[in-house]
Amino acid sequence: MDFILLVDDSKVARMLISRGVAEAMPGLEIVEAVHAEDAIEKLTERGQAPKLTVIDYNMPGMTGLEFAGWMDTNWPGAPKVLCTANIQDSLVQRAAEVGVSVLPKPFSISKLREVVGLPAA
Amino acid sequence: MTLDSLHKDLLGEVFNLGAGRAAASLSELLGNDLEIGLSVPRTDVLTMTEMAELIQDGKDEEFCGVSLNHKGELSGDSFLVYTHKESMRLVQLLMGGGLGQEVGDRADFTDMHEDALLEVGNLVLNACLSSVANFLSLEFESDVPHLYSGDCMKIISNDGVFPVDQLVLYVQIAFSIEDEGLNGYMGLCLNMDAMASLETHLKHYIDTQLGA
Repeated sequence: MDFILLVDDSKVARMLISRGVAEAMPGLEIVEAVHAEDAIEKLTERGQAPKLTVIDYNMPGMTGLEFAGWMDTNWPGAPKVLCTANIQDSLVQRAAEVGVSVLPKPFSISKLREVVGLPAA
Repeated sequence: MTLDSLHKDLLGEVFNLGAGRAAASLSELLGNDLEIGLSVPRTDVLTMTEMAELIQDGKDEEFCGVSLNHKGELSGDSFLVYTHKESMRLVQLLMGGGLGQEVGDRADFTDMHEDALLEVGNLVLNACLSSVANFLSLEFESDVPHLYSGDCMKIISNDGVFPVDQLVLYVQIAFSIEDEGLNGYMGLCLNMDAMASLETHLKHYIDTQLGA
């Protein structure tokens, strides 16, 4: 089954993001990972690229951008967004350089749709 | 650190903008179009002990706070502090319904309560810091947030990690959600290295943008 991967060390953040992505992209399974290493394990187990990966930046272990780099190597072309409250220009620039869009936390459904390239509802 | 009145005024204004961004994030997160009131920023060079006394304000209550350590040109700690009772109200507002109810003291906190408070702290503090960093063209890296409860000293010293007599640049903004009877403090303390860096960036901004 097609799925969306959420990678965030906060359960509450995963709940809030999950609510938003379920509304914007209904009908997809939502798989949650508590950090990058957990996400790598889950992706390896499933052997399938997610339709979208929403990644927190500040997590124990690998940062969100480091994990995005791992995804590029192992699942090239899989769409992903960095979802973070740390919206420094320098971080947004670094993300853009590796082809990752930034979704500022907290986000509205319309902003999520815009960032992942879905038509407005 | 020797800030003249123009530098202090600019610093207050920069943090005021940051707090505004943080308040907008909090309001969006709570999703209730709640109006969040902000005080005029207070800027001082203080010791940790003086800072804690300022926040505690003579109240004999248990406080609860989220502390965020950051490195780089804004190296130091920022925190969000409220009384334990108010922290429960905040969890109720965020999660709705019963999560904030039937919680008497810190021992009744569940993982979900702690996680909700950590996430609010993470969003609000990073929103404020990012705004300050972008405005002054400086960079920081933040750690994962930590939740503390007890007296204010425990929260702002990261549970005793920082020496109580250390001098820091302290910026404080009080916030309130009047309709919900919720008040708290957002504070930022910067160490000596960050104070020097901040001074340089403030001077640069004044020279290049204000022509003063």
